[in-house]
Amino acid sequence: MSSRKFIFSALAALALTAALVYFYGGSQAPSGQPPLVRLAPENISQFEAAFNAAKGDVRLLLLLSPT
Amino acid sequence: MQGASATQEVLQEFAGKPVRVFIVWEPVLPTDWGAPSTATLRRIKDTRSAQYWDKKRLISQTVGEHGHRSIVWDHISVYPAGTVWNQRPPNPLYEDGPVVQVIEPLRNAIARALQDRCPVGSSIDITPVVGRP
Repeated sequence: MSSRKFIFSALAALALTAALVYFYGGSQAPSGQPPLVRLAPENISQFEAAFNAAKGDVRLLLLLSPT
Repeated sequence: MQGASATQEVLQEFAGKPVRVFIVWEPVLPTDWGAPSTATLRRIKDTRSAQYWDKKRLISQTVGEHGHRSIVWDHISVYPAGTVWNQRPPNPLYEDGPVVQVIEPLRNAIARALQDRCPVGSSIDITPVVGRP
């Protein structure tokens, strides 16, 4: 393999690794926020309870794709 | 994900105001293999936020999804104070998407909801922090 091909392959591998880490590395919520909650039929009532607990505030609900 | 960053900017404009944010990440695209990464979660840093990973899109189904073509995503709703979620969400004051394209009406809806929340004659300032003279 020529050095040019090697450098290109190494950069591509690095970019791929960085992308994988960016999109799929860990799931820690930002400081000051509660930990990420994984919703399931068994705990969906937690979401409802949290929403209603903030009844006195204006509430925003965002539905987003992680990628 | 531009919607998340745009929302963070709007939240900064309403810093210190009684606003709570529920961010529900859900698998929609073929690349949505798992829960959002730390980097993705950091797109909304506001401490008034709580973030959720909804693998089965339960919230989307609750607000209207009834098949793959009707997935509710890249969508934002504003709920006024005083309303409650009872099996279903309350009627929103405002809802629309894609999020990044509705920032101005979103900003207006939050301001209106805060105004409605304040009693008549209240001196609470609901002007966004950004844009004040």
